[in-house]
Amino acid sequence: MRWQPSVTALILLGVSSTLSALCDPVNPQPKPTPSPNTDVATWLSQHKIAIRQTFDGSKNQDQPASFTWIIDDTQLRHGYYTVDAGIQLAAAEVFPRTNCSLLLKPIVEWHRDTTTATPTNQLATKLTVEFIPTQIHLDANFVPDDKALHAFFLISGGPVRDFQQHVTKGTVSFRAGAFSLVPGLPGGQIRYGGAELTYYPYLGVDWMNPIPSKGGQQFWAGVGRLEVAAYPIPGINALELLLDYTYRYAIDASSQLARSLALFIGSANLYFDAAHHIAIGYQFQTGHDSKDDFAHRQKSSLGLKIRV
Amino acid sequence: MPSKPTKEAIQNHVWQVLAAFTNQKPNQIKADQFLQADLHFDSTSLPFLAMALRAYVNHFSDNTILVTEISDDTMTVQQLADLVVKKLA
Repeated sequence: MRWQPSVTALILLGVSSTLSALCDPVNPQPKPTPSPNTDVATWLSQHKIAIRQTFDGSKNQDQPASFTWIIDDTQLRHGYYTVDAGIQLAAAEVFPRTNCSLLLKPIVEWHRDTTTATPTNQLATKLTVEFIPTQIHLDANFVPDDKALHAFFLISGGPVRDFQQHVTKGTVSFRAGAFSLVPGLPGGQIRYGGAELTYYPYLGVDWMNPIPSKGGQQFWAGVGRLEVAAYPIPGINALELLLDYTYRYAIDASSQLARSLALFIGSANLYFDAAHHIAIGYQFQTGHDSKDDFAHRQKSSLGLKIRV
Repeated sequence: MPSKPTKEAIQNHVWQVLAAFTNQKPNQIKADQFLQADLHFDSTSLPFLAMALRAYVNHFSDNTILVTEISDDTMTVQQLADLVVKKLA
């Protein structure tokens, strides 16, 4: 089955409509009007525009966009660069007066890597749906008093144009995650001597069609993912460590593509400003990335990172 | 609808909520701290925070708190408290 734009749109529309029945409405309210500001970062924030590394719905969307320029000393005439940047346009809150949260985020992403023999050059337009069906328990004074795990769901989909492979892929991903206020559970901030750590596990499904490395066929995979964010130096927020492990198990077998596809990404960001807008960042990646058509790659980079 | 809390009570409430989310004591939360860069609220915890504050605001008024209103990465603790005060004005 070749991908059709209407497939992704129908899936996302259907999910959104179904979820609308689950939330309890409350009273209406006029839309807030942001005050004008000349500062670029504030202007972007006030207009609900965000720039990050990617918007896959996971904690990764809190990571800065990266721009890396590499000069090969043996071939000074050749410059190599990588770009991993996504722009989230104004997010829409579908049920702003309910005890649940449903956010729709239109996204444009560009992923470019000229450092390998088979460069990456992908432009993606996606719609991400983030749904939290329950709020945390509050005591009689409306202060959080909750020891439970709360599920949340992320659905992302849209066309990806691969300019290197000359193909347009359809993608849909589903993730289920868990959040808690309890330290040690997913989402609960663990504090020890001023250092801090938070982690999120996810389970889900990925669908892509077509996959060039799989002879142009579609790709289904079950997905497990673990993301960890740590601030290891007490009192110094500027240093951020991020670990991201993704395991995909291809549901439909293929002689051209392995069933087990793992990807590990470790990052360290050193921010220059208090609001964490600009950083210098190191990233190490090894494994099978969907952006590389699931070819095994290992690479590391040092570059400028921007987070707005 | 119950009578609205004072500005001081609202601010204390915001501090208590942020402390519960970040596993700190309220007096460890500083007014000029950024929600995201300092208290490390992320794209998952911010909607939960918005819903917790929304329940508080809805108890006293017809207003609400939007997730998108508190997702600004330059928002500080004091700005969040001011927003809740404004919603309950």
